Amino acid sequence: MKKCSPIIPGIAVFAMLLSVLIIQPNPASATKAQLSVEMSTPVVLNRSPQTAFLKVGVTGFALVQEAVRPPVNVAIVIDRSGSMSGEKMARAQDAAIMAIDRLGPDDIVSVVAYSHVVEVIVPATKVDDKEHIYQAIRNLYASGTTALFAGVSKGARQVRKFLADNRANRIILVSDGLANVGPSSPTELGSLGHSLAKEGISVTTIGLGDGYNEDLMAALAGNSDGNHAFVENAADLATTFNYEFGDLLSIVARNVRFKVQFNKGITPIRVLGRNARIHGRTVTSTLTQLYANQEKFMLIEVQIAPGASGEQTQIGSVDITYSNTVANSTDVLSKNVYVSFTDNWNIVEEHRNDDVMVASVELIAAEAQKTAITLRDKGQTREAERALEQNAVYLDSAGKKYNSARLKKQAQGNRTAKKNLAPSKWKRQRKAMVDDNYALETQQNW
Amino acid sequence: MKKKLTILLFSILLLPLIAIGILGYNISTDDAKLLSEAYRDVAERDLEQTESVVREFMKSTVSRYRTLCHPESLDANTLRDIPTREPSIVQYFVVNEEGQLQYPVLDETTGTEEAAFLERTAHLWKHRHPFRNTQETADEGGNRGFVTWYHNRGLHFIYWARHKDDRVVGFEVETAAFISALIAELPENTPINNLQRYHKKQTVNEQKNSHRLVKLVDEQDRDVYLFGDYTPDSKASPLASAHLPSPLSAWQLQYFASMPNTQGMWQRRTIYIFLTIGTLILAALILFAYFMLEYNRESRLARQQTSFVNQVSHELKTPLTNIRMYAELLQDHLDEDDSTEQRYIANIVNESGRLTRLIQNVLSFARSERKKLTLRLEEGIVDEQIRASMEPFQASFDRMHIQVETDLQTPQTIFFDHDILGQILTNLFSNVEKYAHQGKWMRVQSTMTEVPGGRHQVTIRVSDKGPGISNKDSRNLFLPFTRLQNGITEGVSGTGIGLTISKELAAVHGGGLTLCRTTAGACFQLTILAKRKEQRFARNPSAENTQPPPNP
Repeated sequence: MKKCSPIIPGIAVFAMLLSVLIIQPNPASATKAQLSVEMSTPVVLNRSPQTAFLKVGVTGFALVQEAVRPPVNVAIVIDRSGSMSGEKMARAQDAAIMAIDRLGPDDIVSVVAYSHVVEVIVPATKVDDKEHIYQAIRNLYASGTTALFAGVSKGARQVRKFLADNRANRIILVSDGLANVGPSSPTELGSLGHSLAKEGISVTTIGLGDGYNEDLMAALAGNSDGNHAFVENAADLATTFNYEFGDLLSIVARNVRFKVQFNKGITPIRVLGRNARIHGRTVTSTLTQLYANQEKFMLIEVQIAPGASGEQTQIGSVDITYSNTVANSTDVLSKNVYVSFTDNWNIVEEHRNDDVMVASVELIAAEAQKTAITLRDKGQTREAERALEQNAVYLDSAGKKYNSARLKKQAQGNRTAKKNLAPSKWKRQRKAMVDDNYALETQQNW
Repeated sequence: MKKKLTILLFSILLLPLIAIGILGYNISTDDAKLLSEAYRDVAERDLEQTESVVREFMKSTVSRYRTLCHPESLDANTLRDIPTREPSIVQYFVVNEEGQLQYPVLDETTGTEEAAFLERTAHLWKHRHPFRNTQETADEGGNRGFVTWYHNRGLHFIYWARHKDDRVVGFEVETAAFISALIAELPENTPINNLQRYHKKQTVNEQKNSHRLVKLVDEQDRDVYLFGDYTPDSKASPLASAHLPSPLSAWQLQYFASMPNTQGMWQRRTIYIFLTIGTLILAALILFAYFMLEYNRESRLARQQTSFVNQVSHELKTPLTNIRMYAELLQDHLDEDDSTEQRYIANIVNESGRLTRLIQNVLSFARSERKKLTLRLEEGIVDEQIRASMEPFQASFDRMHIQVETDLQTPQTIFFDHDILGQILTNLFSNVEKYAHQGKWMRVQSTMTEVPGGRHQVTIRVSDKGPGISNKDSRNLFLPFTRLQNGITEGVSGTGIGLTISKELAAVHGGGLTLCRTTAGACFQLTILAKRKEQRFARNPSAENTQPPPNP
């Protein structure tokens, strides 16, 4: 937490009324996503306006049988610019072939390669003649410059041919270099990702080696709700593709739309990690897809005006709609958000939700890491160092308080980063940090 | 002589060659120009296909945008919701009938995106009716169109349409999505596989891509998208280009193509031209060599002929001397002066004397050829030598009625080569006898002047009133070989070799023989250098070219 309220000594023996947040006696149908709504502090002080975090999470249900998974519609976009030649290209080819091997006859795959020009190596096709596809991939060779924007655009065109709500529509981009033909800024690629997400297409970006622009790759993936990975050694590409296809083959829901409506007196301040829109007391956000058994959440920082002690008050409601790709239905999930007020700090502490706290600390620390990156980018190495140290201290104390190994590990990560600000190590370190932050903010578990 | 001939031959042959070369070059560059025009035409037609793809794309895009400008409701919730699903839209806006921005406006529900939009577009709302003054971008009477602007170095544009109630509804277009969709519509390259790459075989599709590159470039001429398999030079200018329609009217499609045929043709042509010129130069050299060989052969032949004549002359000399001696003896034995026998013998003596002179000439010439002429100076009087040389001609001059005038003013005794002077004079008189007898007049003058160095220069002029010597002939008058080439016999018995010999002999004597200017007939001026004391004159190699000192 950014600011700590003064500790109020416990006076009242008799506790105030407690509140339960999750009441819904869901029959836990196995083919519906789970919505969870948790406050960092379900009981808040009733004095000045209090700040708290609301975590809205949604968990994909387990796929009973893999056969019923929604078909995949994937475009693999491979950078074949000169820098990819040799080992990198060979490993990328292997990884792509290995990944396609996991697809079934109903899945659709296309392969696009780009240098300064774009070639559609395999136009979008059902995966029934795998050998033909492999041959086309093996024929790839590297040369030329990097028209990344055009490569992704052409990949999108292939995906659009079979674009369907019940398909896992995805572009997987493998690049090791800086985009140098066409729009090449993180903003522009972020905008492209954003618009692709609206079409239901996610872009997963895999950065290979230490020559790519991690901001651009993260923005493209982040705005389209894809995954992002930093693969330092080409040999690890296969593993990464495996993870990616693991996600891709376990999609259970698509077009997940969050709407959080707060009541009077409750002001949403910001949303940590995810893209969301705040209009007055309404917060909306979208997830392109949801994977089986994975929780995706957003954290909303809210300001709560004081209320009457002892009362459990509804402060808002959460509505989620999504396309269930297994049941082929549109599902709606709703929950209300409640808090109770007390004038006893101990009671607040007693009911504190440490999971939400840890998630909040993680994302707040991630913001601080971004700040440190910006400072280092400007050449203010000393300031960056200080920011990372402060962040580590913050994470350590929070880790101790909430007894979280994750936070302690993150603190350790910040201390390591601090040592790697020298020009020779920074390039790699920066990519690792962007990758870690990305995983934190999007709950990418690999 | 040789140098002049070489230059002449070269210029005769080289000038036309150069002319042919220039002509050939001009023809080939003209052809290249024509061909490049043709290529430009092809390029423009080829680019037209791409342009039509862009036009189709714009047509369908604009029609979709028009639909998007008419959402089912204009309340803020709908206008906020649609952009979360619609890839083309960043932000909606509504301008009311008074021209004031109705949505989005800053209030407690304004989101960060909306605030950013208001900041980006602030300049647009400063005008009261920003959508009435955009004729260049609006179609159909200013009722819809694009407005573009730059913000933070990024291109932004909005599409707007006027509703029937005079409200304007529009939205900011997601530029990246627009460009991406445009790129997706444009053709891409056909992949070449490794096998084809290594064997450099090209499929039919590949052939279609062959040797061209189409570029989509932005307003700063930066590449946005490329297709085609040609790699132009960084400095290459496009064969054809076309601007995109609004809102990307500052962008261009550029067409690059290799011009293998023009370039190849040009190179081939250049090779042909140089081959032709080379062949011609070779032919010229062969011709030149042939001429030189021929020339050398002829001069060698001439020399052989000379030496033959020389030998023959030597052989003739002894019998001739005998003939003359016995004829003179016979003359002495005959008493009667007017007898027919006496007359016959006189003829024999005269003719053998003439023959002796001719042989003397040939032998002198042969000697001069071998450059072995030397002076034999003896004491004597020039005028007497003149008279003596004239003596044998007296009879024939009388017979031909040639009137001889003499003006001899060199009575001094000096040292000179009697034989040389006699031979020269005999040649000159013989010329008059042969060629200028129609003039029936001859004058012989002699003078002597002192020149620096204590020496004396004797000048003898022989003039006649014969047909004279034309300017053209006078140039070659003293050249031996031209004569010899005309026929050695004629040369010996005629003037040809005589004058050459005379000039050579005069040069040996430190002077010269030249043609002097006269109004009619011919006039030869002979100069020799002499001394009162015995003195030798070395042969001056440049004497031939030296003009004799001016006549006083």
